[in-house]
Amino acid sequence: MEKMEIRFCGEVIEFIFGSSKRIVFGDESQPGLEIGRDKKSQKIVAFMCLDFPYLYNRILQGLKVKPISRRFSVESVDEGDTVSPICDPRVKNATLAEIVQWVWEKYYAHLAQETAMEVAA
Amino acid sequence: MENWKPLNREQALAARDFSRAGETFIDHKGLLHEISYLILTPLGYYVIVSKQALQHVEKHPKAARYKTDFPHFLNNPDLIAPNYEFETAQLYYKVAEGTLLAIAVHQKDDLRFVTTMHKAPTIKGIREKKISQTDFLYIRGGFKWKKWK
Repeated sequence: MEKMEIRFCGEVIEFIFGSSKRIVFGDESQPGLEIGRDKKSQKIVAFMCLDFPYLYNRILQGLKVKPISRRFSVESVDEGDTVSPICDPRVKNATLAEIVQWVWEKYYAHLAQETAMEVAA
Repeated sequence: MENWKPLNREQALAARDFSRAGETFIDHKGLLHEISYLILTPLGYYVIVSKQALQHVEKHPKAARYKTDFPHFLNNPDLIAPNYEFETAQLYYKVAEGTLLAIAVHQKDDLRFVTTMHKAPTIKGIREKKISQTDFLYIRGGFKWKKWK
């Protein structure tokens, strides 16, 4: 199990679980996700989504077809100006799909609801 | 369309538009962004660089080295391509010191703004045949894009 930090910048989300000093993010046909590899070792150390609100469903569908078997423990969430420790058992020893689901529910679902209500009004 | 012309690094720094500096806007996540400056791109629109985007890039030490090059990279990119996975974002590519850097530019309403910059091994979507040369929105003259496919 690897320790993970989640970083937000708007619709961009990074899931970092290795050294972030020399990450190269590339498209490796994992739907919705860029794969971050350490430039020297080529080990996967991160994932990134460039538009999480739009690609959330595609990520989950992609993880069903091409699952990522590693398990992660989310330790903190960095929202730009604040870094919050995370003690939620739902994202301890969790799959990436479970973490993606958790991020959506915790940080985006209410925004989607508000937008839908605005459109309906 | 604004009168765009390609600028070198120093000219691009001088061309930053600070007229809206300090104004704020809300992104798709509801996060407040404070505008640092705007810069005119080859596609004829201004892109916002916010303090929050600059802070985000600082967390990637290798990419952060080029933080002050945002104006040059956005004004005079080597290539601009759509991100095939969604319509409201474009990727600006620039090769610096033999490394391909990608800047993600998102759009919300009539605002276009930088969200991140990262190192990339290739132009997204070319190898997977999700996009082709005809999808490129801009190519700088002389840029050998096939090296990055």
